[in-house]
Amino acid sequence: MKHVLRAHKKLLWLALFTLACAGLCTQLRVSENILSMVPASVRKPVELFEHSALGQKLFVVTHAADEEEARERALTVRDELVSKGLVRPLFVPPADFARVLLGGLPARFSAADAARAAQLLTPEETQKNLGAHYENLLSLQSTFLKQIIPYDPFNLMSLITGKLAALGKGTGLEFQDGLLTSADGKTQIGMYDVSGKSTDFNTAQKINDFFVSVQQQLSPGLRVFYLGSLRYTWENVQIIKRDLRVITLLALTCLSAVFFIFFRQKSALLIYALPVIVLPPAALVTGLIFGEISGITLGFGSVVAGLSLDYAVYVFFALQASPSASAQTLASLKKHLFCNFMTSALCFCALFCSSVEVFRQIAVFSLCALALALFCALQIFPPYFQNVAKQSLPVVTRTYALPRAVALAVCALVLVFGWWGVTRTRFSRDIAELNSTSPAFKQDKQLFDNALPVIADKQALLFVLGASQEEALMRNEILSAKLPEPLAVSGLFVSQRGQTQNKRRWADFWNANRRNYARLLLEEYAPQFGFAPDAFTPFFEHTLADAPLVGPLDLSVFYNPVIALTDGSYGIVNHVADTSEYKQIADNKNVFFFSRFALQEQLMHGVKNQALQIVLLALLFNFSAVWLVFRKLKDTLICFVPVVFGACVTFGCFALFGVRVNLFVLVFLPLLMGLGIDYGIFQVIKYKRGADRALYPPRALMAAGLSTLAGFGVLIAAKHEVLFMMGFSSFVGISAAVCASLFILPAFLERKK
Amino acid sequence: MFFAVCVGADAVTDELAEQLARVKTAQSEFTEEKHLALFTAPVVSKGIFKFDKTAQKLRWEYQQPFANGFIIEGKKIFRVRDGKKTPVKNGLARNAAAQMMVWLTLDIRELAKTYRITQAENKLVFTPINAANDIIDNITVWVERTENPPRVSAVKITEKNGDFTLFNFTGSVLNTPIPSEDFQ
Repeated sequence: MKHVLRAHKKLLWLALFTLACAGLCTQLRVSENILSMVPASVRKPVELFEHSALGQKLFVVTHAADEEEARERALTVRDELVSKGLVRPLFVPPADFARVLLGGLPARFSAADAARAAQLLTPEETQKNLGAHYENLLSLQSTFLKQIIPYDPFNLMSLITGKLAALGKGTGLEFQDGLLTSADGKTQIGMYDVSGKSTDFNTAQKINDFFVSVQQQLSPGLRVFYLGSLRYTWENVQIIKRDLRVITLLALTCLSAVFFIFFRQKSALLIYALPVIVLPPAALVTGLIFGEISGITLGFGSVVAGLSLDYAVYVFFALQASPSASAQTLASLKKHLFCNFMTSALCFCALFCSSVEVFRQIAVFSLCALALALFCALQIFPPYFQNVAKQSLPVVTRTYALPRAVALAVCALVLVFGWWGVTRTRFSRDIAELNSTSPAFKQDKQLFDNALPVIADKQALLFVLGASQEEALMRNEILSAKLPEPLAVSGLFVSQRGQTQNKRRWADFWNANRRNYARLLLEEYAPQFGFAPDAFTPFFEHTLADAPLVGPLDLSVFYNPVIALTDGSYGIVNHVADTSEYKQIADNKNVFFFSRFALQEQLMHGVKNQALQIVLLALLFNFSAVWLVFRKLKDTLICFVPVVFGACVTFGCFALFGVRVNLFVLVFLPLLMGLGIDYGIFQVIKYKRGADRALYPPRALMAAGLSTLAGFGVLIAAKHEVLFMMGFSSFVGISAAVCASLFILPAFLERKK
Repeated sequence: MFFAVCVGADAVTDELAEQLARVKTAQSEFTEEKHLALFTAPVVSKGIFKFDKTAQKLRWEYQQPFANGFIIEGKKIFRVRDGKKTPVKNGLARNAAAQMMVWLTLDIRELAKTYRITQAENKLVFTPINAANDIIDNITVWVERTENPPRVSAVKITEKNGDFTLFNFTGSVLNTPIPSEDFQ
């Protein structure tokens, strides 16, 4: 009785501890950041892209049967978005913007500009430009154009407008009124700055509500939708919410089924309380170590829920089957359970060595959860299991071994199936697939990519970094000078040092001789077009003057290539063609190249490295550990049979069902190893025990496997790509590992007996 | 300048507004005199315009000294140069086209929103209400009310710096059908 009371006391303390942890968990910051899901090798370019203006934009896509309708609707939607305060209004140039633009030329006057300006100061060019001015002054636009013509008789404005045009060069896209137009004109894309944070769910919800209301009013044939990080945020959250509902319900149903098949005792309910007990402390420790916790890590809680049951299941069945006192039974089980824990823990240690932060979080989370589960199984639960009447469960010791020849044939077939699968499995190269999106999103994205194939496939971003904005701009200029064709951004966004040099060049260019020559040209040709003698006085008095007539030119109001990074450094974003020329100049230190294809390449490379590292480490750790336990190579190798079996069936099924594998399969591999080895150890120890074999009934292994599947395999019902990947892998792999343990291993182990 | 922003029309009779509203089509030759400080002497251009209010179409074409102009078809606007028609998509041009339509229909009620309108004998004077407008001083429209519907004979756009543009319309024909090819 005292023993039981002491045990209740322990349970009470455990419950309080869990409650306290759960309370503290509410303070944790849950994040869903793509950066935490990618290997270190691609993190920097992805981070840079996320910080770039393009990464923050809201893309509003309008598609209609004809260009005019698409454009009209695009403009209407934009007006509504602005009037509702959901996006910031577009920059509207002031009346004197042309003069402001011209005033910005000296600070951007490059050597190439000086050469071009010299060409403009010829009799032929002067006549041509004055003729154009004359014609413009006779048009209906003259009221506006005459604001700038007296300041720019030689059309120096073309130098700066040329720089602006260079920003979109090579895209072949038409950009008017803040709208990008597809080649057929039927798709119009507006790019806007959202009023709130682009990763904030509330902002995402408001934007989504707006588009839902817009879509309800659309006539047939018209499509209006939005894309960008807000859409990803909204879609991810919706899918995770849905998955949580479905998976929880399904897991509870499956766990209940396992309970009624294998346990049917009140005290066994404690086994199913384990996930609730271990998850809050595990989440808390993970959150404290990493400063935040990923939604994926929390989702992985259901995985650990399944895993954490195993120890308690083994203890439960051992105590049910044991004729000896519970203390002795537990003592004899300890070696097995510690061994199981060690193999799983070592797998997670291997995962912890990954450079993917979510993997590291999952490793810590799982280690904590499993350690606590082991503690509960050995220290808290036994008194409750011991009290169950021994005759209530039949002790089944028979085995389900296949004939050895059949087992060997099955092994051979599975190996072939696995090899076939490995060679045919398709790996997802697209980082966007780590986000979970609806079919509607995929359709929208397809339309967007089809409308702007140049942007989707041929454009890239070149990021140039610096400790300060000035340093980043200077580096950008230096890099630009090395390229056959300068970077467009470097011509417009110039460092202070560059501006000083350019202004000096401007002053040198417009020396007294050249000013006189310009005056002579105007005196010669302006009267031919009827211009008054003093018509171009503003050019000499203001354009060429040191002090500009108007304010400084701030181009960042409508295009800002400068990004501020979280570490306090700055980056300059250059839009370039996706060619090897730009790719090669990236040193991945101060210069980063980002394109869809380059990223895919880097991601695949990173994933392969990670996979190799995690699998090899897990193998090494586990092999060493199992060998230390059994000290026999054959026993050690037999423990790995369920792992190989599970892996082969999993990859075979990937290929068979056409599953596109993402990098989260890497989480599954060490898990499968840990679990598979556990089952192998269970069987090897069982067959080595002789008289104590009853402590290891097959139904214990079946109950453990099915419980894991109930908690883990139900993820197969998830819509979230990452959770689905883990669910599919585990459902197939763990089922195969359990089958191998139950039916294949005995065929080899029986012989040893 | 035709394109501008406007408000206010107490002095204008509803009768005139109603009469002007009856103009459904108009075609005319015009001369445009530019009196700009930039030029030593006024510069004269000549051309034609055709307007169909119902179809929301306009052809404004200079013939001398340069052959250029533009065509408006509803909300679409095209630039015409040497017989070649190219679409204009920028917002400024689209707004300008919308304003042009308001002026050509002489929609008094619409113009009254952004101009103060005063009437004296045979002319209407439109003064921008918006104080921020630092270009246009006023626009004067001469209307021949002896005929019904009345026809516009001249328009003068006076700028704040003293420059002005004077349009004289001759040979005007109102309310006769204009073939749609004329707007191609």
